[in-house]
Amino acid sequence: MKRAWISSIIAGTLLLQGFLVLPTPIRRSILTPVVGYERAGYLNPPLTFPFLDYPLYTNTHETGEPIPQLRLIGIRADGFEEQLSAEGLGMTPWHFNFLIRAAVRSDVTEVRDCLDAIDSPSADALVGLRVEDEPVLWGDGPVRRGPVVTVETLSLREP
Amino acid sequence: MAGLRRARDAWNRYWFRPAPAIDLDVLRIAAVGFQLILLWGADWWWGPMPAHLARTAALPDFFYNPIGVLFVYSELGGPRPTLGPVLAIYGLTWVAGVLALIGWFTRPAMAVFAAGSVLIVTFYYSFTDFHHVESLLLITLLLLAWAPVGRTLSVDALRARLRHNIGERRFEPWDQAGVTDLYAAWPVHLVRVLFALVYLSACVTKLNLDGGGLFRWANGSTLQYWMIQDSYFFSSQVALWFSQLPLPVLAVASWGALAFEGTFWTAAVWPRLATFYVPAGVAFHLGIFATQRAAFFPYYALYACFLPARRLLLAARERITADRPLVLYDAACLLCLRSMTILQFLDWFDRIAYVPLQQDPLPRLGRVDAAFRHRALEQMHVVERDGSLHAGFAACRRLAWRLPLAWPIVPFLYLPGATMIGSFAYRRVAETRERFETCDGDACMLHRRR
Repeated sequence: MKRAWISSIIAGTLLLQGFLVLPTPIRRSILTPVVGYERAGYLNPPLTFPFLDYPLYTNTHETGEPIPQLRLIGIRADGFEEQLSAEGLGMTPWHFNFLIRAAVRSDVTEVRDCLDAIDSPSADALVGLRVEDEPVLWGDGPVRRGPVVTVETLSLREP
Repeated sequence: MAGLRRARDAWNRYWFRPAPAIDLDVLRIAAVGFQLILLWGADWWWGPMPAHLARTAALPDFFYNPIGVLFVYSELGGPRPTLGPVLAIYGLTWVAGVLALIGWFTRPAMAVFAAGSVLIVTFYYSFTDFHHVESLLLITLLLLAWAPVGRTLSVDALRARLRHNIGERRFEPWDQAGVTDLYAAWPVHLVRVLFALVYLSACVTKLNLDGGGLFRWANGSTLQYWMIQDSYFFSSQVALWFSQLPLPVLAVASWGALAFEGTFWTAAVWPRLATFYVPAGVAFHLGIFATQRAAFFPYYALYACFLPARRLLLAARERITADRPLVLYDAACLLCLRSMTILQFLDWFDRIAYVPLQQDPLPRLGRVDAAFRHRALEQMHVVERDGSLHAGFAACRRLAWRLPLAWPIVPFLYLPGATMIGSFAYRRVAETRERFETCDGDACMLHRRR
């Protein structure tokens, strides 16, 4: 009985972690007949935490491909603009990235919720945000910054 | 049918074979110890864990994206956890972790610690991007909760041994390295296989399965790209320096990473290969941390699953048992039996020999007179290989050198005044021991004499 119980723990662990080794499209194609297409897309890490797949630094790149370096510019009511940082806003880099991603999507509601959450005077004074990209250029000479490009601008004023 | 039976037998042979319990307990101590460090909050970014939990709990609902068990909990209608219960679980987890580490009520403590650790980590990753560093450690803790942990290197094992020796009214030396268990192998083997699967997953996701060259990831430029990116994100000068190495060097490094991740499974199949893969893994993760700040340090603790603790212990004993000092003890005194049991329990490298005073003649000393026996009953005596004698506090100091767990206190035993204070304390304990320990009547030579 004990052996059977532990065997099921071993088999379950191996099955779950082994399944996560498979590439995502293959996992989805296996799961779809069982749980349906929608759920198959949903039943992925991190939902299965602590069982995870490990797609770390997986994308392939070529020499010279610009590396996006997004930055967030805060706009105050008096027109004053300043570059925002995770430290300045009292956020972790990950939550700051969340804010940038929301701004890139022009998701004003999410941006507002995020700024409200951090309870920072400098965040409260913001009436707008601008996402800029100052890509890192490399491959044909020293590593350097490229020209600044505006990615997105959004107003935080109440409609 | 016969094929199924053969498969079942092979399965049982692999997972369920008598294995040294000490190998399992070394993994227990490494995994629990490291998770306790993480729970303390040694993370370079988050700071102390309670403060991190408080900050996390204060985040607005829209950051809450439950994962793992919290996803199931929320699907069942469970509300978002609040700080109070989370801190209560944190405290309970800490207590259970300390118990699991020292091995006191090891199995229930291990179960509570594993469950609590998963809940705590799942809680804070439900509010932010998740990371991979803890996941294998958490799975290992969950597996250990089902394993026969604590049969060695634990307070539980010591208490069991004391019960046995006191019950038998004699000191029986016990070798922790000799303890085997039918269920001690499976968690160790399974963690090895999980390591292989984790590294395989990291390798497979780097393969270009959509065409255009399966191994294009190892072109050198890809590594250069990621290094430059992280040099900016983490302000890492090491990453920037690394990114400027010639492209062929970066390509070789990329191939090295792919080869390491893609072939690590061989160490799970043939554990002797771990002598290459474990140092390679340590170097690999140190390099990643230096350049990209990815702190996969829990893996260092989990590499303990490749450590043949019993074999190493026996090999070490073979090299260092030649000059064992003798400890003379009264075989008819319960206090002495208890002291010898504890001493021998701590004597991992078998560096002390235990000789009952009743033995005649005594090794190294030959026949001794009544006056010597009386002195030996008054305080512990240690006889070194050259025949030199050390008694009382001096004997304790000699023995401390032989016990790895006592090494941290050895320097304090040599501080100015330590001899005076130590000798005084020893005499006090020796003189008053009747007050807290009762020997079994006339059997105790010391008490009979008095």
